[in-house]
Amino acid sequence: MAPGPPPTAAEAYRPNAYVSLPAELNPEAFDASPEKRRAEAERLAIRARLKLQYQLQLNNPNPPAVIEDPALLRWAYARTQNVYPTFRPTPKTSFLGALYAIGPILFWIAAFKLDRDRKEKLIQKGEYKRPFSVF
Amino acid sequence: METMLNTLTLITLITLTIPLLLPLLSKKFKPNPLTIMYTTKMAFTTSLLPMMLFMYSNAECITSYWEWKIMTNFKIPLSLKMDQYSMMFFPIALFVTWSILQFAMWYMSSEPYIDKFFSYLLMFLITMLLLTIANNMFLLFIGWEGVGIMSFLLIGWWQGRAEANTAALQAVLYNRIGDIGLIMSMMWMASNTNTWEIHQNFHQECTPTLPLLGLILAATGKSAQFGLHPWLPAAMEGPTPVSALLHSSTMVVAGIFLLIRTHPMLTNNQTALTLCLCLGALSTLFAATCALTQNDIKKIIAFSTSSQLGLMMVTIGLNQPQLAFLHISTHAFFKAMLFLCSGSIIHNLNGEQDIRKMGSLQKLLPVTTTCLTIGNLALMGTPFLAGFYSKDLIIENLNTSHLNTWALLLTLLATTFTATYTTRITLMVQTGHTRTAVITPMNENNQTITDPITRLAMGSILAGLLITSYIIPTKTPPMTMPTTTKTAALIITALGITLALELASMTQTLTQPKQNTYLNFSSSLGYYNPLTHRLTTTKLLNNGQKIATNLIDLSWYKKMGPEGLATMQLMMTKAHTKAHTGLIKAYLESFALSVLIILLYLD
Repeated sequence: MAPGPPPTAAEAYRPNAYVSLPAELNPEAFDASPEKRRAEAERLAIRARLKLQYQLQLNNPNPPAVIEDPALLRWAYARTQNVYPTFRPTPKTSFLGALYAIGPILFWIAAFKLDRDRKEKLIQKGEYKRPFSVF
Repeated sequence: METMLNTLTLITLITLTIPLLLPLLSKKFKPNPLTIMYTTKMAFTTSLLPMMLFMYSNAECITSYWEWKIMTNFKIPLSLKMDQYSMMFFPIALFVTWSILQFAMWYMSSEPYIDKFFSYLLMFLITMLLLTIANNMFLLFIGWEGVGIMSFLLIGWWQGRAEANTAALQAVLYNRIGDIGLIMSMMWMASNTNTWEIHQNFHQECTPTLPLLGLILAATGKSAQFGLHPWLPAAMEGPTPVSALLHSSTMVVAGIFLLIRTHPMLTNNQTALTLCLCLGALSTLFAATCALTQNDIKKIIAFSTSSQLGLMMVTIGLNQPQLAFLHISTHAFFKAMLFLCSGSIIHNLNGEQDIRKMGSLQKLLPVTTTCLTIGNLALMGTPFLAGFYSKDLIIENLNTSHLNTWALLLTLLATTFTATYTTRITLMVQTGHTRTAVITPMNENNQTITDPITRLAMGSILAGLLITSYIIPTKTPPMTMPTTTKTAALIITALGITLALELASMTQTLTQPKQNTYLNFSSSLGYYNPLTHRLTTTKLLNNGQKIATNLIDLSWYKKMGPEGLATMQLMMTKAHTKAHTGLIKAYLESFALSVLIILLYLD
């Protein structure tokens, strides 16, 4: 069958590769469910409160000796001392956890097994040269 | 003959340990600097006898003392090897140490803890000699770690100074990375040849590359080859006697010495030899490039040491261990003397170490500056001074060997740079108009200063001749080569000197030069320190915290283990408590249900 007409400009209009869609065109951003919007609004409220706290100290005519940034403190606390409560198993964390916790164990099992099998084959063939040692 | 050799060497070693052991036996005896210096002088004279015995008879000797019976079938004896290397090294190290201790009596005279300082230097010397005479990797390791620790304590001697502490820590960490290689080689030897004796590890066939890589890593760490080199210039934070003893003559050559001792393992393995060659060539050129733009006199001499160590590594790569040892011996004399001269200059200028603020010292400190000139000439390889006998032979061997041109060119270029920065020191320190402060109380009328320096100057002039006259070479030196090749070292050194003279005559005022790529590269030491010190450590520690601590330990293990189980228990409990209504009706219902089931079963 002969090829059809080339795509029109409207049809050829696709998002660029490796570039995230702007909020106006991204259905997840503007057409979100009520729960998502509620969560977004909550996060914004927290951010606004923290920024207000910081800016009150910053623009104070008699500033305190040390201006603490509550956002930074909360972040540092969450990253160092509050790790488990802020942990959620996501695809990324599951993959990385499996890679670094289970991966080495499987790797070394395989390495030792293959080494042993190789030595066993050589011993069966009678070619294995035992090292001159007690260890 | 062997008994004499043994006994005299043991007497030398025991003489040295006496000032450290006697305070443990009686409260009255406290070592003071004078006694320690005289002890070292006596040990030196005692060590001359086995050296002369060895020169006369050429009889090597391995003596085993007490054996540590920790395991059947694996022997760890305390065995000492008295061969040409240890018999030559003892008198040289003791001579240099004696001169340095005498000098330190003047240099550190205002030090409140001078007794501790001298005890530390003595402890260092003992561990270094133990390393040299060890025939056993176990004893060598004891000596190796000993010199590492003493280096740490001595570099950080002025421990109130933050830079000194950083430098000491740097030295220890870089040495530790090298120790990984040494321990790996020891483990390979134990598990493959069942012995830690060095002479029992020599095989006829090619040794596997793995243990040799370990030994080369150990030498890279201890002898400041490129890659693990930053600790050596930083070690100049220590007092000048420490720099003279440890970081020029004795400790830094320990890595090269290890490769000399285990040389028969390296001989047949061309990969290891080529690695030594290229690593040494790179180190020598890199250090010489960095030395060109330094302004601190001690740093220039430190980079000079680093460059000469690279040259020694090149010699090992050329399969010439004896020549490397010859260079170690001659280098000890003139390098220690250069450090002592710079120490004298620094103290006389009231702590000034910048050569841009020195000048015209030839008339003010005649003995010191004369010996500085002799040392510099010896370093450059001036014919028939000490450095010539080793350096010229190395370059001749390099030129007549079948090896890659890159290593050859790098080494020749480094030789030129050596001549250049050495001439620069001489010109800026000794000649020209004076740039020092107006009233400086300068005098070298003290015997404690001039005697050690002149003694080492005599050594710098004569040592090369004496050693080569009395030690039989084990490998045939190259005899025939074209005239250009024979005089190559001289030509390129002369080139370096003329370059330095031209450049010096072009600058009348010491203004800051315009920045260009090469100047920046050289004066920031090749950008090595900022690139590696922060980058590797922050990446390692950050990733370690993110993955090992936060992700695995604190999150996943908790979820898989206690916390996850607790959550599941909680879910089950919550589901069950719905049934705990507290009404008698429910419990009566459960009684009825149980009775019904029992009746049905009995049926």
